[in-house]
Amino acid sequence: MRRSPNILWFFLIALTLIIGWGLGPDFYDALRSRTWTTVPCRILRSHVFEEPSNYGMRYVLRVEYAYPFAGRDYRSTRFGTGQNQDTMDVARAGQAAVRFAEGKEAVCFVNPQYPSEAVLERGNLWGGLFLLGPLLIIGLMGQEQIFAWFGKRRRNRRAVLSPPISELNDALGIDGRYVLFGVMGLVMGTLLLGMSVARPLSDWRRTRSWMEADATILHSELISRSGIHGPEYSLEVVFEYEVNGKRYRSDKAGLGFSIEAPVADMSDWVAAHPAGARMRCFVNPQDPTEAVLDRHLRLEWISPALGLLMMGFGLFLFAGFRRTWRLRKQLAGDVLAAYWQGKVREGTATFRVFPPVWVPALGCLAAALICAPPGIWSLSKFVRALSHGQTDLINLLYGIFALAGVGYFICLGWKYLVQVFKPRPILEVTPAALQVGRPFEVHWNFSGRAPRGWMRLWLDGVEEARVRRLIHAHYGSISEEKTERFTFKSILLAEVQADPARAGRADGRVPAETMHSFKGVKGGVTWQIRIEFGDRKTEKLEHKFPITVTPDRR
Amino acid sequence: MNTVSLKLDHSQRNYCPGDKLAGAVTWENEEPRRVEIRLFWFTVGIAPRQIGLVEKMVIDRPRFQNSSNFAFRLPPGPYSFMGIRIGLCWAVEVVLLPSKRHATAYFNLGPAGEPVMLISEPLIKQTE
Repeated sequence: MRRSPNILWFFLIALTLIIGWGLGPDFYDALRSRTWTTVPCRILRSHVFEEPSNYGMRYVLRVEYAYPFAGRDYRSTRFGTGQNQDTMDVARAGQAAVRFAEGKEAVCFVNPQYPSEAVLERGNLWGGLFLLGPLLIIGLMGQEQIFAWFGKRRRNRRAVLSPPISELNDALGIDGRYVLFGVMGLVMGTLLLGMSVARPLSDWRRTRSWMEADATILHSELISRSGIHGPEYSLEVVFEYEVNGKRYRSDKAGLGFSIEAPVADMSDWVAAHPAGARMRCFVNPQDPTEAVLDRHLRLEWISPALGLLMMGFGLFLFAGFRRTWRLRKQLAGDVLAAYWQGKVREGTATFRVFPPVWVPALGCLAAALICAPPGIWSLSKFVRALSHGQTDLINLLYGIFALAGVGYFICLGWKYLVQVFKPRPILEVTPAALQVGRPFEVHWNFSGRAPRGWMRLWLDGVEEARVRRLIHAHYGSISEEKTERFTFKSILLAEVQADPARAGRADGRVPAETMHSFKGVKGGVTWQIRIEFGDRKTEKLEHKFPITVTPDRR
Repeated sequence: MNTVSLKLDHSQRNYCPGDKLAGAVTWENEEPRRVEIRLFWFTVGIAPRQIGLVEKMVIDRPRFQNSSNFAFRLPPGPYSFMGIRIGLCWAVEVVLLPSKRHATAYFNLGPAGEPVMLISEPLIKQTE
């Protein structure tokens, strides 16, 4: 086995330490403050200060408050538990200034061990989730080793305890890897869809009842910074508005998920709304600190599409777990006999190429039509941004990705479309379910036209097994479950060397000493009638039709 | 020492579909709450093992006995077989509960009493 590169592990451990160093103290303080005593207090002084920083303007609520504790009076100037007392969100700072306005009665949280230590706002514990980020990456990279360790432990336990063989139904166990990826798909899909669709929709519904007010743009700028994938852009806007004679500030330009907002649109907006410009804004009448300049609903396509894909992947895996769980409950006695034998039909079985080739061709066309508009939209946004001297990398990458999808579906659809003009076999097999050691007959026919070159008809017995194989990648090893097939028997039923007839008949017999169809959860034995033909000797078209072979029922 | 044993009537252990599989189980120095005699097949090979429990004979609270006879009528399939990647074996197992002490006897089920061998033909391998 190839060893995973040590430098990567070193990098991850360093990343864990850096994130722990940066977020750990804040998380610890927030956690500590949950045990503190809630005490009434009076705000003596409160004012929002603006401070410029490398990343834009920051806002600090400078506050002083008095509170009694254990018969003594104390004073504190600490607002929250975090190391940094400032925020880049002007609306949040404004809301804090309203909640803790000078002369107002409020509550503070006091450390009972050191009563001089108090805060007005306790830190958010959700920040602690970021501490798990590196562990999640390490867990994903090392998942193969982790699951291998669990597998080894299970084998060792079995060796020691020696449980009854009839209870070791491994094929109907749920693979921890699929649980991990299923949960990740669902969680990430829900988060992405929540942020990119549910939240803008909910904001849009909320803002419909908001009142209008005059606003003045104080600051409007397209900020660019260097990110890990190239330049990143964000719209920074601060506007001031007046409600009931009181002035407020907000930095919310519109609704939506700003990560993938086109740079060209942001650039146009900045050009149309310079500092000093006056326009209408929409203010929450219940909380005038909350306001937005544009309340139109704008949904982008990248995050919803990624969210849908991830959620679909998670749901697909969970549907698999449900199927396994049901099989585990049901597979015994008669249900088991019906399961391993497969569908046993009476009379004559007719096999056609299914689905008809035009169905996947139309499916590919539909998929291409779905991918094309977002691809064109994203690339046009990239080109517009480029004309302003900006690089909209997100729209470039996803635009290329969507158009590559269009190309792929067109090629695939063309392959299916070509098949429409090829001969398509129709087979009639009597009896519909073959029996070990018993004769059968096959009638063939071609819809459209007959092949002009040659044709062969086979009965194949195939052994199948779902096998987990280890794949070595540059970031470590992962395993993948694959179906391995071995054809253990091929019986030639008919062969026509030149210019086969449009219809014909062949007789055959399933060998007496062979295995019947057996369908297991992770493997089995299948039988198929295979027809291969071509217009030229070098051309080979092939269709396989699965057929049930039962034990000899005489 | 606690022991449990299972003995089939025929020592040859090759059976055809529809045959009667009979035998006896005995246990010593243990008073199980329940004894289960399970007729099942299981897959072997590189794919995860699947168990197919075909029939079960249950003896509840066997206080005054330490042995029992059993008989099963064997179903038409699946046959015992041996392939390159997967195979299928038949077994009958006695399990004492709750201790899970057990004994197992293996046998073949096939059209001629023998397991079917899938490896006599030239092989064509495909993977997807």
